[in-house]
Amino acid sequence: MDREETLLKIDDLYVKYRTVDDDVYAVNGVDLELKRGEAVGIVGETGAGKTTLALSILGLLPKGVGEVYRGDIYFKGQDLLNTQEKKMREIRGAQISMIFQDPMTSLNPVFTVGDQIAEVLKLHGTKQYAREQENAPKSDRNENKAGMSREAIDARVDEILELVGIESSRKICYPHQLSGGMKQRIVIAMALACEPDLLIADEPTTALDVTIQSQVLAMIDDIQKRYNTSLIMITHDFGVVAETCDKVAIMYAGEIIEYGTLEQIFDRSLPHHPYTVGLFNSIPDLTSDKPRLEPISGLTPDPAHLPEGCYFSPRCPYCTERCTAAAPSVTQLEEGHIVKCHRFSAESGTEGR
Amino acid sequence: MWKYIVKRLLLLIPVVIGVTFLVFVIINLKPGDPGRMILGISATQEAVDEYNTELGLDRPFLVRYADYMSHLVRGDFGLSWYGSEPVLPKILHLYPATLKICILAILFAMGVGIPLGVLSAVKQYSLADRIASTFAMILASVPMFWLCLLMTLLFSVHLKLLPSFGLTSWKHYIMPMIALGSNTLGLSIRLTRSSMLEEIRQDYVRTARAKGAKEKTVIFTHALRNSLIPVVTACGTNFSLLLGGTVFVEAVFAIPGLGNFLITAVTKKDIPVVMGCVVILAISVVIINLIIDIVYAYLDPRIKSKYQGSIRRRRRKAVE
Amino acid sequence: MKKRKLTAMALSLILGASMLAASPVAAVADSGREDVRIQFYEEPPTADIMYDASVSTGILGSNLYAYLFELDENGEPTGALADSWEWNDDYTAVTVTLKDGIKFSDGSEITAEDVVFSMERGKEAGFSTYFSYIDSVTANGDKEVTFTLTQPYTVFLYALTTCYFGIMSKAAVEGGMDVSKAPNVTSGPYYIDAWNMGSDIVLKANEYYYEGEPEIKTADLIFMGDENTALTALQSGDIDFMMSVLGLSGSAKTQIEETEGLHTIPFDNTAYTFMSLNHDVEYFADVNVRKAIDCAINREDIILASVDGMATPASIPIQEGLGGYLDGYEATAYDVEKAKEYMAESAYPDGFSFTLLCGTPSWKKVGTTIQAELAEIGITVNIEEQEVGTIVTNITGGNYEAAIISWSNACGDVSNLSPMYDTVETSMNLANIKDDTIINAMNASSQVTGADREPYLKEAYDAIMDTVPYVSIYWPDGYYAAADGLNMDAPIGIIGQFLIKSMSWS
Repeated sequence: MDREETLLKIDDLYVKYRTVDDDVYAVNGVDLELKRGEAVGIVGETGAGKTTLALSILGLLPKGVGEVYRGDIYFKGQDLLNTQEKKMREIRGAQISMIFQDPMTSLNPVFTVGDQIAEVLKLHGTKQYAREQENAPKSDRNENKAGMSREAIDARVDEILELVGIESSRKICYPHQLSGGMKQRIVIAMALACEPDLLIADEPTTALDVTIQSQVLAMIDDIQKRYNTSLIMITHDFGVVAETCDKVAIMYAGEIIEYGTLEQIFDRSLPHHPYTVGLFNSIPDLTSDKPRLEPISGLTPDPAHLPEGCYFSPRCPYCTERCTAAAPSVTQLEEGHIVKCHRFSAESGTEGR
Repeated sequence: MWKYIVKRLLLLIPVVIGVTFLVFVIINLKPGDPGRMILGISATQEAVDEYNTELGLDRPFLVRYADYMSHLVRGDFGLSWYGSEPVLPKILHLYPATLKICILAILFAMGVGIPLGVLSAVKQYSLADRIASTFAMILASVPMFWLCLLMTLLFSVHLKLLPSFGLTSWKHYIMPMIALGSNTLGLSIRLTRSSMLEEIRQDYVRTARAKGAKEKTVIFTHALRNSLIPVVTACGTNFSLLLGGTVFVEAVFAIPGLGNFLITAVTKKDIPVVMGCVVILAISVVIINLIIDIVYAYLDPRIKSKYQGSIRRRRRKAVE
Repeated sequence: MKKRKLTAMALSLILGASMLAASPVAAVADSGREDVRIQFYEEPPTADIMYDASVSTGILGSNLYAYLFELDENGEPTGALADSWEWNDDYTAVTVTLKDGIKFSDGSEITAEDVVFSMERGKEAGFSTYFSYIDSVTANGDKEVTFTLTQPYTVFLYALTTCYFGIMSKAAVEGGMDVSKAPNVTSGPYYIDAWNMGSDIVLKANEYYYEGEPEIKTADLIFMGDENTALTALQSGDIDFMMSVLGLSGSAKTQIEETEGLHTIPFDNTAYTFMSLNHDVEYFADVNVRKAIDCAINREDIILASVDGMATPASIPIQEGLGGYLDGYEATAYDVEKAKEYMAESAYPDGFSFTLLCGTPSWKKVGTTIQAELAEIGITVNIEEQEVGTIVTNITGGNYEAAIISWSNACGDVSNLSPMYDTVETSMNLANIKDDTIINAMNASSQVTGADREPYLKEAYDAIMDTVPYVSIYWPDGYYAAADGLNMDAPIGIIGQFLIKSMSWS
């Protein structure tokens, strides 16, 4: 396992939603690269396009409405956007898993949690199992070519439940019999059962209360490190990012406007995109004595009617004529730290869009 | 679960008492002199009065009711006033036919309606959806007698494919089944459609897709299973309505069933028969509702838990 | 793509099937067919003719049992099981001699014992008032029965043709035969082979029937109360004979006559339809009021409106061809002016209002037509719908003002309706008539025979036409329907009883 191997490469991705009235431009030129074992956080406000980005990777955009109209996504070298649906299904849940925001509704209420975990195992099996089958003598092999044997599935379900910290006797429970935190653990268990290479977590702790939140995050972090699973953590909460991620991408209006390591982004002394600065400023600070919060003025732009030039220009305190005239291009501030802002681009920098 | 069932069955007693009392009041209030109707217009008033006394009609109302109930609890449904035949054997002889066509009607409604509803929902706004929805709306509004007449004209008179009356071969069941089930069919299509549309948009469906499940599995195993819940309960409720409403279909298709028997008895004011039919129908409805609730519990584990008690007890059982 | 293919396949299948299956409506007209499927309008409460007054029981019974007498083509009683009979001088007793070789359906002989047994059984049941005329019945040997009457009653033989007087087997009944549901030992052309509750009755031919075994060997009486169901069954060839509810409605008749392969069979409907007026109500006690109403109504219009013209206006309560009929009594002519004159002469020149009870949909149309017509002479009619059973109860209880009702002659002689005018035995005096002129004349006519009856009958009919105790309306036409090939050779009995023994396939 080459640690430096690129697992996921998103190249200049553009995604829009076609509605009856307008086209909604949700993702506008995203570049992202993820190595094996890496954890990247995607931070942004609601409507920044984070979830759309995640869904595009898995090919789960609403049919007929969501459309990738430009760009590429490569996973382990494979072009996901031009992969047949049948093959995509083999990838989903087995190589790339996704967990969603609200655990209360993410589980099917009429099946036991054990069955729901078993479902993903029946569909894909685990890599370990596949390896074992290959190496085992012919007589011990599972005749059922379609997948894992029942015993193997049961064993794995127990195993994964323990991993997420739930008693295996609870697998006969229905979702409504579990608390929110436990449900989310089940969701995570389902996502990890087949040992995926990449886990996409879309605001996994937003719906949980704070104490549970930290438990769940710790668990994700632990598992991720243990199995060297790559992680995309989508969130609006810097605290979550700080706990789990190596790299951070700040997303605004469908673009990644700043990207860097955790240390680079969190270091207030370094130069940052005005939006990033605004985000950090709006975090309430227990130590200082500010009477009022400092939000970023204005609202995120309507993705159906994006402004001219830099998308952040209407809200930016440093906005100049250049900002409204043309979109900024990518500028590297230092190794591994890039930003998309006219303030940092060289006078002769190429235009962005 | 059994405790729950027993509790519900015990409810039978107050229901039967309440229903029989109400019906007894109503049927006695209905104008008409049984003695006169049985003996005919040419009988003397004396003979009529004597006959009425024989029937016990000169006693006070509550006494007659108490007398009837005291026989009923012993399983004695009395004799019909027309022909002096015991009521219960006659009812039990005719009941299966009515039950059969009602069950078939509901099965037909669900068997055709649910798939159509699923199709409508999955291909929302497509031509198939529009056709199915219009069809459902027509069925739900069409008057049953019109449908019966239309079917008999088409299939019996012109095409000579189906027999026009009776209940002796499997072909005889087709038109009554369609006529009785048409309304429920319309309901099934619409309810399944709207239920599916809702469920497809639920988060757990997205989770299932993210797990890499086949679309067929997502629709039928995940979404449909959940959307069936309101549909099955609605159809089940309709079933008990149908049971009392087979009268018309039985009349048009000359089916020897309970509905016809009951209506004739009401017209002739044959009180023992009316009461007997009502008791049987009331018991049926209670039992059917119980069955629906049990089915509902099996479909929806959240309800099942309520019936089964605390989770601790179940965990203990599972671990043992 | 798959779905379109399926639809196309399905459509072509249906079209193909319909082309194969469609054929002109035709009965199975092969000669030699010995069964018939008959629509019966309701399930009779019982087959026991003596213990029930329903018309359906009567029709069933007339096919199961034989009678001492039956009506010939002239409407006169002639011997059926009886070979000969002899009245005594004052018509208080008649001795009947049975034919030779008459048997029940099990082969046993019909004897005088059986006749006596049947008469006594009927008398005990008491469902027919005719039994009150019988003082005693005695058997003299095997073949002779003597009836002793309570009073001179020349029309007694007519009574013996009514359905209550069927001859039952003493041995079978006393031996425990189920007379009400499964009488399989009968004297008539058929016995009951099976009674499927709620569904149908299967009759089998009596090989020992005194007239010879009937041509139709099996008859299936199928209960169908709905006329449309019966109509479609007839059109689709599922049944061969349709009686609807004692005759077809106008629309059904038209449909049948226009359908190839079907035909209608007319019968004399002896249902005397009239408006019964309660003489206890002050207006109707006034003869001028009654006469006014009599000529204020247009019977032709009523017939057109209520039964699509399928009726004839009525006057006296007996039809041509039946016992006691006299010529010369036309229905009262429609004359509004005359009606107004009568009203002026009455005690209520300014009119009044009354409630008219109507039971069936066609009677309701009768009522509304009358309502419109009486309005012209200042009488306001309020129509109240009730069930026929309730109306009967109300009328017999005297609890009404006026009602549309009909009375069917059960025996073929006018004496059957005389109780309507009886001021002494008032049970059938629906109108509460006070004047005994009519009943006296009618009773007198039942005590003499032949031409001697005429003066009494004339007196009665004159009084009926003059005093209008009931406002006569019409005699409805009766029609049954049958598939072509099914013939009925004998006239249909009184009250529209169809006799299966007279049916055959050509």
